[in-house]
Amino acid sequence: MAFEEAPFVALVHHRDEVPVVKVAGDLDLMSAPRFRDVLGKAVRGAEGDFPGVVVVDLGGVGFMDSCGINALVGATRDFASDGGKVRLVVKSSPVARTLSVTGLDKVFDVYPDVGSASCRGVA
Amino acid sequence: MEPEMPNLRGMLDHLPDPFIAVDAEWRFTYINPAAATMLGGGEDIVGKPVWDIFPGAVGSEFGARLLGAMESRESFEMLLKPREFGLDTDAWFNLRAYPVPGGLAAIAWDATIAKENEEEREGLLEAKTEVARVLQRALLPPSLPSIPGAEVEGKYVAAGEGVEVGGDFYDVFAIEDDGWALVMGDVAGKGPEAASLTSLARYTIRTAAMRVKRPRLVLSTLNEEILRQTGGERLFTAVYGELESKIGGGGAMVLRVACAGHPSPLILRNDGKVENFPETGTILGALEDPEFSYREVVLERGEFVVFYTDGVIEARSEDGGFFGDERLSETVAGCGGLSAKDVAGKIEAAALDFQNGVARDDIAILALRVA
Repeated sequence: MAFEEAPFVALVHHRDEVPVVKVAGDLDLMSAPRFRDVLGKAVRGAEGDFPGVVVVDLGGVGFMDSCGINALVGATRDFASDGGKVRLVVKSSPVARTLSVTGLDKVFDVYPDVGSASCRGVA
Repeated sequence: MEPEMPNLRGMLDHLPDPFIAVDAEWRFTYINPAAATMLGGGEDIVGKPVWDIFPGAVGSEFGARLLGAMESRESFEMLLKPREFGLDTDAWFNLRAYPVPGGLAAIAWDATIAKENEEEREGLLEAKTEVARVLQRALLPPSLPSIPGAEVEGKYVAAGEGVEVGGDFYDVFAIEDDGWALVMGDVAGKGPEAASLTSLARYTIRTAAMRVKRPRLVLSTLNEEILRQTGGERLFTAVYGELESKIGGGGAMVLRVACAGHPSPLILRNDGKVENFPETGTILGALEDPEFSYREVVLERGEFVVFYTDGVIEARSEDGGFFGDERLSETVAGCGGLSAKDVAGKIEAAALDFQNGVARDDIAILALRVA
């Protein structure tokens, strides 16, 4: 491909003690395994908390395909079924579109920015 | 004290790699012992023209590149099989020729192992591509049934060189005497694991279609089966439609569509308007109780519906832009009056042209036109 793909980055930091997985670049077949790995670790770290909250900051993601979706759902499944909250920060329209077409915008809580997403207790 | 100038000639004599030099008249001016051994001639080659020693090089690509290097004064490197030029060895050599004052010099080194590795890799890749091709064929209907009063056409393009079996599929089949089912699906990921889920999905849908005869229930059955089989490790989008003649509709047909997180099918009306479904439901394999969208539409004669996978809209141009929903809508809007075959072909061509002919992701297209 001739266009420059943004390098993929997935890092965990904390904001008001809430783990925030910050993701940047294209979330696709190539980067999904790494995303899943990082998100999985963040989720396991939050399992002891109650109520457990993990913020996934997709603000820097320009494109997310079905492999990215698969990683997002796969890594958070057990956490969510145990009552954990997975909050997504979405800015770009391709990511919003992917979440909307797959109906996952109704499964995850979607926020416009990290500040509102990392507020404890607000559903 | 200046370091002593080494004896360059002596160094070349001791090089284990064959090294030769020729003058502007193509006569050998130097060959080192390694080259002499390889050429089987020895010192007496010096002074003789290259083309006399290697008549096989005349007119060959190697010969042409030598002539080019002498002319342009630019070096080149190429892989050679010396046996082609009359030498008694099955080895492969990498040869680098470069201009030197008064002629050309060349050094060669054994590349047999690298060449064998490369051939082995190519063989494995070819075998893998063949497996992908055979699997892929098994996931798509060998031919589409003919539907009275409608035409239908399917297209499938594998991503890249087709080395991996993809997760896109489509299907068209008769639901006993109750009309026709149209299916399009997309399993996340690629390779054998995605293919086995695709196969499971295809046959689960076929079985469920005969049993439940309600589009959303067909997808619910599929969701349960996928969850049971994968434990929620694989997500999957699908759209399922049931088509039948509209009673007293003068050739019009009714299409009932249920959608599970899949891009909405597009409908081209006779007045040129393109319609989609605002709701697309929930992806399969994620939840125990997903909600699927449902729509019933009447297609008049000449109108058509297009199902597609995200490989079409996620096609990317050289500058990174997406093909996108709008461009797809525009393409479909320009398909009025075309046959189902031409509609599917036109969308396929538009998506491929947009990404310079190589699909970044699998593409599946299913077009149905009421005749």
